Amino acid sequence: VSVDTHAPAHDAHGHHGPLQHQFDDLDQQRDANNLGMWLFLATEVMMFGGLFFAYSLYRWKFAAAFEWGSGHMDVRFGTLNTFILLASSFTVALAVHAAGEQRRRATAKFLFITLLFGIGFLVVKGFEWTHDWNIGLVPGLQWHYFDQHPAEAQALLDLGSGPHHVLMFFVIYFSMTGLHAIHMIVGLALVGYFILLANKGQFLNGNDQPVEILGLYWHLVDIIWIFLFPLLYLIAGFHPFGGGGGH
Amino acid sequence: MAQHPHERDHIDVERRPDPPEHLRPAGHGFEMHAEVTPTPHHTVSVAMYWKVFGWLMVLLVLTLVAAMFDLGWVNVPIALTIAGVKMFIVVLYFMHLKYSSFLIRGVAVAGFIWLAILFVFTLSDYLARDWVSTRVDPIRQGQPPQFSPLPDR
Repeated sequence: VSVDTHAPAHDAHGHHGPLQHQFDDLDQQRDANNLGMWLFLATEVMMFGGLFFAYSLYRWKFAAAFEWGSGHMDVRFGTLNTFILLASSFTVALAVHAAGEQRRRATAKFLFITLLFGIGFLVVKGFEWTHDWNIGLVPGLQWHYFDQHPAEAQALLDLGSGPHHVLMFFVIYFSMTGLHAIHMIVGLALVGYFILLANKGQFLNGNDQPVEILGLYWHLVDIIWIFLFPLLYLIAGFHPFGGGGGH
Repeated sequence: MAQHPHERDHIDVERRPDPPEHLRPAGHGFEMHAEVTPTPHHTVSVAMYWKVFGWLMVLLVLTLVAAMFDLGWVNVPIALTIAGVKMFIVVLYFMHLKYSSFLIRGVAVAGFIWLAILFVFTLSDYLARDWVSTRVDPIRQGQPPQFSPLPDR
């Protein structure tokens, strides 16, 4: 019998075990954790929902300007990022799976691949934003595109629209992709931290629930992009064989 | 002899280190390890994750192909339907909602119900605003309000 110097009788569910003392068993704890996370995700849906609503309303009001703005997005970048995020959702699901099977190295490996995908997404987004900055399509900070392209401004005015409507498209574009990118950065910080924890064996012995919760968050960020992609990139259509690639 | 309070933990919480490198099955690491007892909450297999990922890729290609054709107003419903299907399979399989309790499913749906309230109530206001002209037109003063067939875009 080993001598346990810090084990009073009332501490049967010790703080070092995966089961917290307020739960009967791991299944109950898992359900409670998942419920809490899903509640948080519901609030996230509502927060992004406000932006999706603003998008819908202004798109209805400023249809021509939104088509023009969307035509300026590079569908190839958007498609690449959609692929990256879907793939990262897949790898994070595999990480959750590996954690459930108590495979320390596989968990860390799939989390690491997820990290790389996530960084790749932000790099692609960075290229797109830099391009917008350079041509002057960043509202409030670098908005000089129509000063240099008066003919396009006139064409929009002839449609009953105008550069000020396009401005609204880009305000919403940067709000939505910006809030999404903030979520990505938070997610990446967590994934990086979890790689360290996974390597230390933190998620073994039935203690894999944090990975599952992290996975739920990551999937939500993926789902938001699933909707952002068609709404922002595909309004003006996809023209791979000429005519595409913006203006 | 009375059971030590930590006896149970010592059994449950036994460390299960990875086997040494040369004992591990060769390959990419996707295969199941037979020696590890799967935990009961595991309901989705790796094969199913691959299948789901494959379908997500198919849907991604599909949404691009659909965007190549100019179908007028039909483009948007098609793109959103495809996005919705993508979301559904992510939620059901990657996020395990298909195997979750009724309570958790309810919470997941609740977020979207609230979103629907936001959209329906607020849009019904905005879209209907221009149906009745409330502007006072000096020429038409005294005449009934103007009804326009479509909202003024």
